[in-house]
Amino acid sequence: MADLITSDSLIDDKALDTLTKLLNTMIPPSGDRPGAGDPEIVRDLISAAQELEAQVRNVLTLCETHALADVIALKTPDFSAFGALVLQCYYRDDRVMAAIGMEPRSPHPQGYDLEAGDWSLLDPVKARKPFYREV
Amino acid sequence: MVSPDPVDVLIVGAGASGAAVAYGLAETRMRIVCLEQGGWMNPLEYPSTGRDWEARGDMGISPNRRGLAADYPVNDRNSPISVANFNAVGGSMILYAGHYPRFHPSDFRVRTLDGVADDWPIDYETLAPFYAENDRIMGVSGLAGDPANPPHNPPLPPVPLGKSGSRLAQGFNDLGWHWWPSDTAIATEEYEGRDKCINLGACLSGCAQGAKASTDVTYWPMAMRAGVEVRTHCRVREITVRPDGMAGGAVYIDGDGNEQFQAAEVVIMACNGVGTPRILLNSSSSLFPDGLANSSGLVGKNLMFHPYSLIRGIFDEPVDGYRGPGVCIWSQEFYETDPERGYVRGFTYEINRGNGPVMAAQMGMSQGYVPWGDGHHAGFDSVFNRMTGMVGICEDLPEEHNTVTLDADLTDADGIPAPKIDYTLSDNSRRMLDFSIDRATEVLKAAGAREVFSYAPIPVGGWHLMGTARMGSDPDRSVVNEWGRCHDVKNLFIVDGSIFVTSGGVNPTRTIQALALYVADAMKQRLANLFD
Ligand SMILES: Cc1cc2nc3c(=O)[nH]c(=O)nc-3n(C[C@H](O)[C@H](O)[C@H](O)COP(=O)(O)OP(=O)(O)OC[C@H]3O[C@@H](n4cnc5c(N)ncnc54)[C@H](O)[C@@H]3O)c2cc1C
Repeated sequence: MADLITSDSLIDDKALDTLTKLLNTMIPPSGDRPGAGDPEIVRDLISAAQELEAQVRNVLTLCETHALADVIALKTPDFSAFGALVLQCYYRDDRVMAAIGMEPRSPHPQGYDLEAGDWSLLDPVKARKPFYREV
Repeated sequence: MVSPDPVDVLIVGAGASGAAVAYGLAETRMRIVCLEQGGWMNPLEYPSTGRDWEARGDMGISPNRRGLAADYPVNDRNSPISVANFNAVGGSMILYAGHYPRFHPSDFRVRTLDGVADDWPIDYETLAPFYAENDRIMGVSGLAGDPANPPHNPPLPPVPLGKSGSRLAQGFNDLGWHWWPSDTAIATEEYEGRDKCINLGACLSGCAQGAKASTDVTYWPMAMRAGVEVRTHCRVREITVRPDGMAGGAVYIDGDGNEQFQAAEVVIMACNGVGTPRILLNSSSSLFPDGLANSSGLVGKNLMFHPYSLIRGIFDEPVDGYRGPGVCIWSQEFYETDPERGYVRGFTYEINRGNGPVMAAQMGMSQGYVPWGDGHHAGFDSVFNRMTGMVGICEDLPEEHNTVTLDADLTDADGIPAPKIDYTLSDNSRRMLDFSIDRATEVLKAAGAREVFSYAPIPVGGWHLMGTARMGSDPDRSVVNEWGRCHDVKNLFIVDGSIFVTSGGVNPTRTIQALALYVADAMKQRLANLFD
């Protein structure tokens, strides 16, 4: 996995290993869903982490002295920011999107279908007299 | 500092109101220039065109978090609600949801009807023709016949109910409470060169489709074709005054960081309810030591936000999730005052559909439904595409201690003092928020929600900015007169949400724009004696 990080000073092999374990603890693999420690998701996360470098580093430092489950349970502000990043990267992975029933694509330009809904529900409201306050 | 030829009309701010007033005045063939601190947006760069659409901090709603070159910081630490805006051609509409109700007639008569705040010096009938014109230009979608509102005819059909709208409509029906398809500024059919909505679901980070009516794709192209000039990346620092006490023009910093001066016969402020008082307060002079147009002492006072409640239900059956415009239906069952409820005035429910996967996971986590670890996937599946609900838009009454002032230390990148917000939630608002949560919980349960969660106020929900240069006929109790002209400075006008006397219980922008058209019309009627 070293190629994952060659251009990135954020993480060395040991930290990468810790990161992967932490991510798989946060979102473990299950059925057709990869874990968040999947190499492709980790790669995306590392490249997206530039602005949160300090927070990611702090979380990894915490992992050196705490069990992974405790790092999660402590809910430090750094971990919250890191957690948001994890969700952002995890739920845009092709395999994850397919597994949760989304097409793996951006919303634009195709957009989405939306059913018209049941307009007969409006009938009782249409029958109501105007009730805004007269002045 | 250079001093180019004076223009006839100088507008500051190219958002919702600046564009409407520019368009309204364009037919006079006067030389009109608008100074805007931001630039033109490129919709093809909006988040929904990328896979990272839920992660783009540069299109976030908080100027403090975005920190873009066009942004100015806001010190809102002394407020339970923080300011949300956007600074570009199109203004905060670049990010707005496009929920587009009108004020009710009663909103202009709050003192007479309920003995609180003040009446407006104008009424619903005064604004009605300008509402109609604005509806046509913006391309409003909706359905005529809403019994909660005076008759009007939106030019486009309403947005789909979808699963979310249908489900909540059934909940309202079960309780016998009003609901109606929302009027929206979202084109449901091709309209005046704009594409129709294709349900991207990302309205709050800019509409890549161009279906959402922000003024960069509605008013501005028309105003510019009629000769109005928009000068971008120009940040106004102060409005100057001439020895005769009239406004002389604006000092601004251009895109290259150079200080410039633009002289003008008429100046119109359109920087929103925070940006306008900020610049007026920063324009003090020997003639106006307390800030420009501030002899009443009310510039920056009476800030109103609309405190929001948020109520969501979790359903066993799928709802719309990430599909479709966030806006859907509204309920105004509790819009008008009922003393039995323990507060005065009222609110609108704006029903929202759902969220993308990241937001659904985050929301689910914050409420304890989605854990990290083994239960993550099951927790996620229980909320994703299964969460829908509403916000309660509560009328905020004007209180002088809710203020925009100039921060003593914080400045923007050009050294202009940043606005400081001091705001407290009133007891009336608190009671109204609680009531809105209780009734919404009943609706969601009636609609079949398995679980309901709520909170109020939405801490990041300072997206409606009103009241800080209020309108009135008494110069001691108001900043502008009944047609938007400053009492103190007869060639200085204000057209943004600052001039609201009260806030109503609805999103404000349709009224802001109708007011801007009305002020333009009032100016046109009086061109020969505008300064009398
Ligand atoms: C996330 C979000 C959701 C919203 N949803 C809704 C909704 O559903 N319905 C609704 O009715 N409203 C909504 N709003 C509010 C709506 O966007 C505003 O009410 C409306 O845009 C205000 O219009 P305005 O002209 O007063 O100000 P703005 O549209 O904010 O425009 C002000 C402009 O002035 C410029 N400016 C400020 N200071 C200076 C200066 N010193 N020099 C030069 N230029 C300056 C700014 O850059 C900006 O472009 C929402 C807003 C946000 C942020």
